[in-house]
Amino acid sequence: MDSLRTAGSQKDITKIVVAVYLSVACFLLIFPSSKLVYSARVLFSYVLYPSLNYGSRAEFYLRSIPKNISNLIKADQENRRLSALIGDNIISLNYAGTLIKENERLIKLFDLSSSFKWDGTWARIINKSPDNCYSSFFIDKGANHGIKINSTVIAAQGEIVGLVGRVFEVYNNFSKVALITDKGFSAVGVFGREETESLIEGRGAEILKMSHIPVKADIAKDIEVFTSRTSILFPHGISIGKVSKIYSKNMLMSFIVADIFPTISINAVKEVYIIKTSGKPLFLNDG
Amino acid sequence: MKFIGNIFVFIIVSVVYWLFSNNFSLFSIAPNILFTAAISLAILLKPVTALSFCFFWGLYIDIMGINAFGAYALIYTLMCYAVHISKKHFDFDMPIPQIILVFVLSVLTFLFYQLLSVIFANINPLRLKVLFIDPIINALLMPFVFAVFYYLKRKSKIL
Repeated sequence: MDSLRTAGSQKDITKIVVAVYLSVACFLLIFPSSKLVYSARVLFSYVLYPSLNYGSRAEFYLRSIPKNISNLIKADQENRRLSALIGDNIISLNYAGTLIKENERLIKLFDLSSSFKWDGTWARIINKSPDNCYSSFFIDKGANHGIKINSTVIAAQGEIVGLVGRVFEVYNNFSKVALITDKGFSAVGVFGREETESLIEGRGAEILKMSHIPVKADIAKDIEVFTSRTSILFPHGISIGKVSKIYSKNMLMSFIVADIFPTISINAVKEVYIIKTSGKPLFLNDG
Repeated sequence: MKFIGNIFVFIIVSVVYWLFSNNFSLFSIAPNILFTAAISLAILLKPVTALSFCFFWGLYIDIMGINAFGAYALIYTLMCYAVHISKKHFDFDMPIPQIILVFVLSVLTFLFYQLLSVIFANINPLRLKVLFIDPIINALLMPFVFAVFYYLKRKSKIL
């Protein structure tokens, strides 16, 4: 009797459950819920994984949802695209700023070169070896631009012009410049009113060595040293540097030695001016 | 314990259905794991539990689709109730009745869904290949899916 009653109540519960589920299903069918559910689904998937909705699939995903929801998603996509665009523009703006600064610097250099008493051409440094930065660098002008071997190389920093080195090797479209700081570099320098001559040598470091200074020479700290008129390689009167240290005069030695700080800081140079030479060989051998 | 087991089975079957329909479909046709699972549970479980499984799986399919939200919930609930009534007269523990049952219900489900789509969604996504191939695949799949749920119900007592 009890089991029959239990079976009967089980049947009733089943009928109630069926009725409830069918009613809910019918309500969902009659109520325009499809668009709401699909909008929620699209929004949910968009929040979880927005890139899924990009590209050609976006239109497919948005085809059945209300306009306001699709506008929301499209606005977000537009926002992301524009944010990326703004980022690119900021980079371009920074690059434009550096170009403007470089342009201003080049204009100043160009104006300065018009006051030079030498003819020549500007060249840009295209290669520097970090482990050999006081020895040489390459410039973007070569034989095709009229550059000749042993041409004097100068540079300007602000209004100051000074010696940088000489052209050491010439190729068609680029050249190698040996710097005044190179260990193998030497030149005759003059200082003072009497244009006392001395030997300037590179040390492979920032400071140059000045030797063979006569003991009685009128030398002092910060005195400026120029290229000599007796120099075979360099035109007269180009600033080499300033005396930074004088080593004590030893009476056993017949010459004084001094340190020279170059006029042009080699590490900061970006462009150089190549002074045109006559093109004649340095040592004529008419035989 | 059984309630947690039921939820676990519900989630696993839903995920497997989603994986099959997204990754293992050939010409847009894939074995309908959810359909055969719903019928298996309608045969094996008590009516209230089976109805709940079928209703929520139907709702899940409705969420996955975009037309006539609630249609599959209605169809699966009716289908479950029909199986529940007819299992007193037929022995669905055997493969042949299962195959026939699923084949017939696949066709009826498809037709009923088309009817509901026409009425409530104003579209008729009739696809003939689905009409002819889907019932056959589902019918052949049925004994295997039933065996799995039979094992879960009778041997491992999860359901």
